[in-house]
Amino acid sequence: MSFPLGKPILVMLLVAVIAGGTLALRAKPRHRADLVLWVFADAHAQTYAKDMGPTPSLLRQFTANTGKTVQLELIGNRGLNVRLGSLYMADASGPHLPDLVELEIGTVSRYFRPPLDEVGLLPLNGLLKQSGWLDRLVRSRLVTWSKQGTIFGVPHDVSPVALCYRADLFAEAGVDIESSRTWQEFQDNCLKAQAHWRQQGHRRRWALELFEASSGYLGCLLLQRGINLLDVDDRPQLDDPRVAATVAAYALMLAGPRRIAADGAAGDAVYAQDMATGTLCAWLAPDWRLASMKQYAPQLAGKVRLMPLPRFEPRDAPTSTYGGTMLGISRRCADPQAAWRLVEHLYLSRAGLEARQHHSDMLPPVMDAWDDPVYHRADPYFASHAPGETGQRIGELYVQLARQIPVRIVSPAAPLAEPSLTFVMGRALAHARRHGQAGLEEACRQWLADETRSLRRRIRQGKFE
Amino acid sequence: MWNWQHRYAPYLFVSPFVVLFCVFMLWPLGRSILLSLHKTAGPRTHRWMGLGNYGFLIQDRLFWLAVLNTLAYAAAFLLLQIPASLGLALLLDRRNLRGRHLFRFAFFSPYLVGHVFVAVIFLLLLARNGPANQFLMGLLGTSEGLGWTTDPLAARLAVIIAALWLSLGYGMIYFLAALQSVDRELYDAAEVDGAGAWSRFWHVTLPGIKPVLVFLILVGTIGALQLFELPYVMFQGGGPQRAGMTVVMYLFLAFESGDIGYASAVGWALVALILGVTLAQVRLMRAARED
Repeated sequence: MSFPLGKPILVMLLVAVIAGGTLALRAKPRHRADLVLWVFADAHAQTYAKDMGPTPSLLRQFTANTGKTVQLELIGNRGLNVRLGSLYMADASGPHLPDLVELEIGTVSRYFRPPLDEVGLLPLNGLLKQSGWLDRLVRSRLVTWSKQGTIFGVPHDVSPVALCYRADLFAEAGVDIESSRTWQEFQDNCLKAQAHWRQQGHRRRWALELFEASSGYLGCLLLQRGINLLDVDDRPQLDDPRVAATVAAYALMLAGPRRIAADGAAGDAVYAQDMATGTLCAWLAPDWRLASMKQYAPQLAGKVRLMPLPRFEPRDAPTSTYGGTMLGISRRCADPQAAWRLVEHLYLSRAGLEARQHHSDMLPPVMDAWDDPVYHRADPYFASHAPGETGQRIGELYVQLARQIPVRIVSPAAPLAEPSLTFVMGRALAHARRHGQAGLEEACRQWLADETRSLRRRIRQGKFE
Repeated sequence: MWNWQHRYAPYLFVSPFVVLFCVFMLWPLGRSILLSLHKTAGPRTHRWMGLGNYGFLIQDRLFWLAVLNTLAYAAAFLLLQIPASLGLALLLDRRNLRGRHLFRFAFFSPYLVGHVFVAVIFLLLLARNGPANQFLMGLLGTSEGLGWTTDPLAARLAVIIAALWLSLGYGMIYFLAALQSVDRELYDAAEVDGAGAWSRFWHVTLPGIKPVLVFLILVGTIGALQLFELPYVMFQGGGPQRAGMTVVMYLFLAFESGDIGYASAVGWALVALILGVTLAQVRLMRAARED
C-alpha cells in the first residue's frame, strides 16, 4: 500500500482518527432537559431541587404537573456572569443557552446596557400583566429589574433592611437602643454603651458594623433617604446635598472622636462570630442574612432583637433594601410559555413560597402572601419585649418595613458610579480620622462634585441611547 | 511522488499550529483592534468611533492614576523581589545548610497556589481582627490594628507583601539554577587573587547570573504591569482611595460596564505600556553592558 505523504504521516493520521473517533463515540450524548435553569446560590438550588420530607421538590412537582423536565445548574456567581455575558453578547441560542437564569442585583446592570431590543433577557411586561401578577408584586421591586419601563426579571425577594442588635449587651450597658429615632440619637446611645463596655475592659467592642472598604452599606443608607447613585436616565445623583451629609455622617460613625462602628470580618461564618463574641453589637440585617446568623451563631438565640432603622430626617424611610435576586427568561429561549410557568411555580405559587419559607426567613415580593400566619409568628431566636411571648415577631416587622422600601434603580452605569462613591467615602474616612467633623461635609460636597463631573463624562462616553 | 511529498509534507506538519494560531491568536487580536475603534453595546449595536476611545482614554484622569499606581507597584515589587530572591538563593545555595531542600520547597510552594488563593489568605490574615492585627495590637498595646484594606498606604503595602510572598520562591529557583551553573574554578581563581566575599559576588557571581537576572527583571516587570487579581480579591475593587486601581483593574471596570470596544482600547494601551517599559529596560541594560 502506498500513501502519497509517506508511511509516518499515514500512521499519525490513523492514530488521530482512531483517537478522535473513540472520544466521539465514548462521549455520552447529553440529553438536554426541556428547560435549563442556572442559579448562583446554593440555598436557592436547595429550595428548588430538594424534597421536603414526603413533599417532592419544586422541580419534580413542576415536571409532574407539566410533563416538562428541568435541568438545574448551580454555577458560581462570577462564572455564571462570565458565561451568560458571553452568550448574550454573541446572541447565542441552542443547547448552551440557559432558558431561565437567576441574577444577583450587583451583577445585573451589565445586561441592561444594550438597546432594549438587544437585551439578552425576555421582556416580561406582557406575561406579568396577562397573568395578573403585575398588581400583586411589590411595584418598587419590579422597577429594580427594569430598563426604561421594560421588566426583565421577576423579583425573588424584597430584601428589607432592619437593624439587628445584641439586646443583652445593650441592656447590660443600661441603654435602650430602640428609643433611637434618628441616627444622631443612635450614635449618642451607642457612645454611652461603648463607654460602659470600655469600663468593663472591652476595648475592642464596637456598637455597630459598617464597611470601611466598600460603599455597600453607605449606598444602603442613601437608599433609605430615597437616593440612588444614578437615576433612571443614568444621571449621577452624587451632587445631591443629602449625599454629602450622609457620607459625612457615615464617616463620623466609623472614625473620629464619636466613633461607634467598625468593619466586620469577611465570610458568613467569621462574621457571625464577631456578633457572637460581642466584638460588634449591631448590624444592618436584610432578611436574607438571618439564615446564616442562625446557622453560624446559634448561641445568640434569645440575645438579639430587630428594630427599624433610625432615620437621618423624618422624611426618610425606616428601612432600606440591600441585595436581591431576579429570575429572568432568555430572549432566545425555545419555549417561553413553559419557562414562564416555571417562573410562576418557583417564585409565585403557594408551593414555591412554602418551600422558600421552609429554607429561609426571606419575605417574598408577593404582597398578598404577607398575610399568611407564617409571617406573623414569634421567632424564639429573637428576644421578645412583650410579656408571655416566646420570641420577636420578626416576619411582622419585615412586612411593615417591606411596605415602605425605597425604589432601587439598577443602571448600566452602576459599575462606574459605585467606585466613585467608595472613593469619596475613603477620603471622608481619612479626613474624619485626622480632623474629625471640622470641614468634613464641605469637603465631601467638593469631592462628590468632582466625582460627579468625571462620572458624567465617562457615562456620556459610553452611552448609546 | 517523492517530490510531492517533499514539497507539501512540511506545510501539513505545521498546519495544525498555523490554523490554531490564526484562529485563536491572530483573528482575536485583529478583532480586538477593530473593536477598540468602536463603541459597543449588545451583540448587534456597534458604532464607529475611530480613535475616539483612545482619545477619551488619554484624557481620563482615572486611567493615568491607574498607570501611575501600576508603575509604582512594578517598581516597588521589582526593587524588593529581585534582591530578596537573590539573597534567598545565595543562602540556600550553601552546601552545608541542613534541610536546604525543605527550605527551597517551602519558599517555592506559595508560587504553586496562585494569586487568588494568596489574596484570600492575605485577606483573612490582614482582616481587622485577623492574626496580623492581633499580633500588632498585642505588640504595640493598642486597640486598633493597621487598616490593611482601608488605609491607602497600608493597602499598597499589603499588596506588595502578598506579591512578594507569592513570587520570592519563583525568583529564588531561577537564581539557584543560575548560581549552580557559575564555574567554581572562577571562585577558586578569585580567592587565589585575594578577592573577598563581596568582590567574588560582584565580579564572579553577578556576571555569571546576569542572563537570568535580566530575564527575571523583564518577566517580573511584565507580570507586575499586569497586576490585577491580588488587589481585586483583597479590596473587591479599586481599594481605599483607589490605591488598588491598576491598569488591568481599569480594563476590568470597562469590561464590567459592558463597553467591550473601550475595554479593547484599554487593553491595547496596556500592550503599549508594557512594550514601552520593556524596551526602555532592554535599552538601559544594553547601555550598561556597553559601558
